[in-house]
Amino acid sequence: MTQPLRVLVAEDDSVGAALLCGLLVREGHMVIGPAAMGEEAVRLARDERPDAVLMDIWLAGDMNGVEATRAITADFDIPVILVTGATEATDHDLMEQVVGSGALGFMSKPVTGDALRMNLRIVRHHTRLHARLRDSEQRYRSIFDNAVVGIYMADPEGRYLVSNRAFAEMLGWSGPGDLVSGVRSIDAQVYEVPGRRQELLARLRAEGTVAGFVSQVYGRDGDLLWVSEHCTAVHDWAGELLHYEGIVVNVTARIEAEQRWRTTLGILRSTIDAMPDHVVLLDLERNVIMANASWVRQMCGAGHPDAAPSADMAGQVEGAVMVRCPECMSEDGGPTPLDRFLREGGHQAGPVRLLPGGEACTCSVSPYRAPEGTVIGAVLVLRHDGEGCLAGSERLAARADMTGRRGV
Amino acid sequence: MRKHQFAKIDCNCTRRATHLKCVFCGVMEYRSLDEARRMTLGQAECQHPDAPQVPPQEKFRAMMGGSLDCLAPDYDTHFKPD
Ligand SMILES: [Zn+2]
Ligand SMILES: [Zn+2]
Repeated sequence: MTQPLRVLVAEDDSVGAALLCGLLVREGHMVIGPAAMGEEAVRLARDERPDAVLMDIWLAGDMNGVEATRAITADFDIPVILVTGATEATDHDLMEQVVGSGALGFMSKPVTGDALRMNLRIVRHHTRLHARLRDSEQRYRSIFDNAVVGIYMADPEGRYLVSNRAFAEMLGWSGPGDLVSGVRSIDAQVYEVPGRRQELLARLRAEGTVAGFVSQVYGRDGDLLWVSEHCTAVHDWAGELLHYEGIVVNVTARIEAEQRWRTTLGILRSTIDAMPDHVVLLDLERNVIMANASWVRQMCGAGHPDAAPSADMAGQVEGAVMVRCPECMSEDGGPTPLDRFLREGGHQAGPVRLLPGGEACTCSVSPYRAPEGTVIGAVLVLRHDGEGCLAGSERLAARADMTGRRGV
Repeated sequence: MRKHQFAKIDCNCTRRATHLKCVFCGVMEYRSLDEARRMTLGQAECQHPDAPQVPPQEKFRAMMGGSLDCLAPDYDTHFKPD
């Protein structure tokens, strides 16, 4: 046994109305009405929310059945079955209006029990389908609304059409509606660099999707933040860009951390480059891991590409000069401080002559340790010190030792 | 020190998952591509004489807490027929 339906009857002819009500009751349904006028039918639909409406095309009052159907389907999403006389069914203009009214079904008089049953089955099917659709629509809606990433849809002219809560809040607006009405020009109000959105549009037209598009954007309060966008173009049948959808992540913290890291690295780099001594970090196989500007000039000559300080600090570290080092000999022809370090460890120092050229230097070697404590390399400091080269090696060792070392 | 060069290979087991195999020594690793790009010194070492030498700087950085990239340049196509 199927669930009885609550059916609103709109019919101005009392005989016709009684006939419809009788059929409905015999099928076990509940009748609302009958309403004789269109306006009354709309009011009852609003107040009573029936499961279905049986609507005569001609009603008393200013509103006919087609108009009342249009209002009920649009405003309350209630299925309407239109009922009409046999002669009207042959009227082409009228039938055009019926099709455009949003009515779900159509019956001609006299209405039979079979026709009514068939139409109400369609109503039930339609209602179930609609409920399922509404359900999945709500699920998507909830994913969209509760997403932690920003989601928006924008038109090529530069206005937001839709936004979720996360995106509106990311830009400092109180909600999606606020953002959509408040941003009249994305180009002028959102992107910091002029022409940035046009760049995005050009790439969307050419490639369809753009990933990892990182830009600086303005929040409503004037704060600048960094965002990374993943955008997809939506085209019409002719291939014209209709609108585009974006998924947005706030990457301000990441970009700022990278900037701080680059600054710190730059300070460290400038500090060792400012030293007049040659400073070089070696691994235990004498490979150069990192060296300062003075060392690069000494070893490679001023014309060497590595001798020119590069603007990109990170790149300089990456591209540290790959030479085995240092080509030098001790004053007495015996093992150099580096030789002694590699054999015995600890701090080593002594006078050396750099090759080629034979420049006299004091070389001091200090162990370089990995975070867990193992020695994995050595830091060499080569100081031009003509006087020092002639002095006793013991005194020099003490002087050049990193721990006991005084300022120049 | 030499390092493995991993490439994707379809496994013969029932799971039919994609695994990584060193192009040189043939060792199999059940790891993601990203994991192959960030291996520790211990995981990365390959005994095969034809495997590439680890550049001293990459090795040094690995000892300082960095990692080694052990993905073969042609990792996607190396073991594919054709
Ligand atoms: Zn291997
Ligand atoms: Zn397997």
